[in-house]
Amino acid sequence: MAIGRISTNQYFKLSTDRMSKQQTELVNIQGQLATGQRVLKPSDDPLAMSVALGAKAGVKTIDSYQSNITYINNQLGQMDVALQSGSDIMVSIKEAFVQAGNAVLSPADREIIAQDIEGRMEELRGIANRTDANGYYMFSGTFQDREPFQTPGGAVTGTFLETTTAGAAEAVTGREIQVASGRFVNLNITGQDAFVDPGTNEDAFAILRDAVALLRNPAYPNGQEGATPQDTYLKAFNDKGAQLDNVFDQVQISRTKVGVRLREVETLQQINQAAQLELERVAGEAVGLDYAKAISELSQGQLQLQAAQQSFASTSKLTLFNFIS
Amino acid sequence: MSNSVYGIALSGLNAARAGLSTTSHNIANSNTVGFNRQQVIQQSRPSTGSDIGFIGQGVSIASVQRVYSDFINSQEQKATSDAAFFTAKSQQIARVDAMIADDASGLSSALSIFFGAAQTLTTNPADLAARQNFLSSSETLASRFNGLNTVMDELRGATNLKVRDTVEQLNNATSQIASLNNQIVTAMNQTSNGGPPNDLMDRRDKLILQLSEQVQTTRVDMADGSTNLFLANGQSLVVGPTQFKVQTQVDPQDPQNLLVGMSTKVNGQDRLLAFDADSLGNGALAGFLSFRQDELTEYQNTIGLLAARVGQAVNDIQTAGVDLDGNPGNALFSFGTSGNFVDDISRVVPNVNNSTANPTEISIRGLDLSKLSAAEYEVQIVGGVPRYREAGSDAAFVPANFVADPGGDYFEIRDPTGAALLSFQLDNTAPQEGDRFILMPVREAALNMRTAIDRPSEVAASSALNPSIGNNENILDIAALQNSRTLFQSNNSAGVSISDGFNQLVSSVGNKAREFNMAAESRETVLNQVADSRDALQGVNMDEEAANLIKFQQAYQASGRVISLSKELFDQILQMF
Repeated sequence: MAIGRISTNQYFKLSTDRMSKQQTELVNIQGQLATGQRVLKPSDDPLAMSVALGAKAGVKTIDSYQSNITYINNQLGQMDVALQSGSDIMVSIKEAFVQAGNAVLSPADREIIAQDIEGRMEELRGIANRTDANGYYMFSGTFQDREPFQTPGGAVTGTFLETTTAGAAEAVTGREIQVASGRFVNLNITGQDAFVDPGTNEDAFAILRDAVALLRNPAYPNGQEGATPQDTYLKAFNDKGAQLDNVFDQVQISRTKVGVRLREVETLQQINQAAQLELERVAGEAVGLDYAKAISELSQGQLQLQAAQQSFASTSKLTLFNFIS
Repeated sequence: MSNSVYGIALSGLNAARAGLSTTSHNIANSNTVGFNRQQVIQQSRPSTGSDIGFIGQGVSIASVQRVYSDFINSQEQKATSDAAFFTAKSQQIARVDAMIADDASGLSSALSIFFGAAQTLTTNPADLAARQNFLSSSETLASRFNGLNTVMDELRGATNLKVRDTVEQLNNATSQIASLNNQIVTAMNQTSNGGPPNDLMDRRDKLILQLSEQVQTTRVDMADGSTNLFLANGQSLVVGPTQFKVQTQVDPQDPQNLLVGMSTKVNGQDRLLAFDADSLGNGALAGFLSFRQDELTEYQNTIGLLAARVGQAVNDIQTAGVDLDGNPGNALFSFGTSGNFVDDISRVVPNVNNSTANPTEISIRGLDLSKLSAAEYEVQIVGGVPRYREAGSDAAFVPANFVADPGGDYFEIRDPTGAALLSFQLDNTAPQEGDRFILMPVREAALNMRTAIDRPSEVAASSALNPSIGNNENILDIAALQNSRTLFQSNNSAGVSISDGFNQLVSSVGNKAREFNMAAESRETVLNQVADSRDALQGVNMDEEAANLIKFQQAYQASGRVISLSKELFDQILQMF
C-alpha cells in the first residue's frame, strides 16, 4: 500500500468533514445556551435526566402539600375565630350563671337572666352551626352538609348531629389531609369536641335549656326530697354551671388544638419550602447549564472552526496544474 | 534495423498514448463515486536473439488495471453494515428520546397533575369544582397515555416504512448487481487477453457497498468474474445473473407488523418465510427490525403496563368507595368496550403460517399486572401442548404450567418464584402442532384508556364505612398511589411507584439512545478510516495525474523523436548512394 498517498477527493472530504463536525458541536452549545439546559433529552445524560424528573415531580408534589396547608390554614383560622367568639359568649353566660346563683333573686329577676341566657344560647348556636366560605358546616366533621346543633322542636330533640346514623359519631372525627411526605393533619374540630360535656355527653344547648327551665321553674327537680327547695334548685343550677364549665374547657381545649395544628402546619410549610428549594437545586445541578463553561466552549469551538476554514482556503488552491501549461 | 527502430518507437508511442488516455480517464473520473484509479501495465517485448546478444523489441501493454484491494473493500463493506445498523437504531430511538421526558408529551407532568388534583380533593371532597378538577386531570392522564401510545404506533409505522424503503433499495441494488454480473462475464469472455472490465467492476463494487448499507452480505467472487452475495442467515441474494428478491408483507394477523422475508413454496403454496431481526447481522434493515422488535416493543409495553396498572389500582379504590350521591363508585378509567379488562388491554397474534384448517385458538384469561414486565410471550404447540418463551429471545421453549379447573382447564406462565404472571386457555379441543402465537399482555392498554365517568359527583371520594360528603378516605387512598411502591414488582423487585416506573423508562431510553449514538459514531469512525485507506490507495490524486501527464507526454515526444531520428538515419543512408 502506498504510504503517505492521499487522493484529492479525500483531501476535500476530510476538510469538509472536520468543518461540519465542528459546526455540529457549535450548534449543540448554542442550543444549550439558548435553553439554559445542559441536558435537553435523556440521551444527553440519562442519569441526570432521571434525577431531574424525580426532583421536578417532587417539587410539584410538595406544591400540592403547600396548597393543602393553605386550605388547612384557612379552615383552622375560621374555626379559631368561631371558637374565640364562642368562648366570649360562654364567658358572658357564665357571668349570668353567677348572677343566677344569688339566692335572693325574684322570679322576675330570674326571668331577665333566663332571657339573657336564651339569647346568648342562640348566639352560641349560631357559632356552633357556622358555615365556611363554601357554605359547609365547620363543626360537623365529615357530615359537613348537616347542621350540627339543630333547634329542638318537632322531631328534633336537640343533640349533636342527631339525625345521623349510630356510627356517625366516629365518622365525624374528621378528615386527614396530607401536608408533607408521610405527615397528615386532621382538619376537623367537631361539635362533639367543642360543644359537648364529655362527662354527661350533653351538649351546651341542652345544658343551657335545662338551666333556663330551672330559672323559670325553680321547683324540686325529680322529687329530690329532704333538702330545702332553694338548696335543691341551686344545687341543680350549679350542676348545670359545672357542666357548662366542662364545655367551656372543651372550647378552650379545641382552641389550643387549633393553635397547635396551625403552628404545626406553619413549621411544615417552612420545611416543605426548604425541601422544594433543595429539590430545585438538585434538578438544576443535574440538567442545568454551567454558562461560563458553555461560553468558553463556544468561543473555543468558533476559533477551531475558523482555523479549519482558513487552512482549507489557503491549501485548497495548491495544485500542480497551476504550474504546467 | 531501421524497421525495428520504427517498430520500437511506434510501440513506445502507443504505450505513451495509452498512458495519456488512462491519465485523462483518471482525471475525468476524479469525482466519480466508486471510481478506482487505473494504471497501464506495460511490459517490455521479448527481445530477439542475435550473434551479439538479445536486442530489445520495445514495449507492449499487458493490461489496464484498476488499483484495488480485496482486503480493504471487504473491510469497508463490513464497516458500512456495522455503521448502518447502529445509525438506523439511533435514528429511530431519537424520536422517543426527544419526547419521552418532555413536559408536554411525557408522563411526569400528567402524573403530577393527576395526583395533585387528588390531593386537592382530599381537602374538600364535597367541592364540585375540586371534583371536576380531578376528573379533568384524569382525562389529562388518560390522554397523555393515549398520546404516548400514538407516538409509539406512529414510530412503528415510520419504522415499517423505512423497512419497506430499505428492502426496495436492496432489491434495486441486487437486481443491478445481477445484471452487472451478466455484463462482466460477457465482457471477460470477449476481451481476448482477458483484461478485466474495470469500470463495470467499479460500478458493481459501488453497488455492493451501497447494498452493505441496507443489509450485511457475504461476498464470494467467482473465477468467471461474477460475484455471489449471501445474507448473514445464509440465504442467497445474488447468484451469477440471478437475483433473489426480499419481500415485505403486512402481517394479516397484525396490521401494525410488516413481515420481511423470502417467499418459498410450502405444499405448493407461496409462503413468506419471515426473517428474524437477529439472523440478519448488521445493516440498516437489521437495525430497523431490531429496533422495532426490541426497543419499540419494550417501550410501548412499558407504557401499556403503567397505564393498565395505575388504571386498575385507581379503579379498585374507586369501586370500593361511595360517591357524592351515596352510590357505590364506578370505575374511573375504561380501556375498551369489550367489558373485560384483560381482553381490553391485551392482544393475541397468531403466526401468519399457522394451520389454515382448524387453527389453534388461544385467549388470555388473567394477568397479574403487579408482577408482569414489558415482555411478550411466544407460545408454540409442541406435542399437543403449549410451550412458551419470552418473545424475541432465543431461549428454549418450556412447557406452560397446566392447571385443571372445573370451569375450564388452563395454562399458566409463571415467574421464577412460581407466581402466575399470565394465564391462557386453548379455545378449541385439538391444538394444531406447530402453531405459534405472540401473547401481548398489555399492548392495547394505553391505546383506549379513557375517563369512564363524567359527572363530578360520581367520584367516590368517601369510604363505604360511614359515607358522608366530607369523608375523604377513599380519595386519600388514590392520592397515596402516587408513591405506592407495591404497584410494580416485576422480577420480584421490592417494587417501584408509577413515577419511578416512568423515570426508569426515561433513563432506559436515554441510555439506549446514547449507546446507539456512540456505537454509530464509533462505527462511523471505523468506516471513515477504512474509506480513507481505500481512498488513499484507490482514489485519484490530481498532482500525481499532472505529473503522469507530463511523464507520458515526454515519453510520447521522445518516441516521436526516435521516429524522426530513424528517418534521418535512413535518409543519410540513401544519400550515400
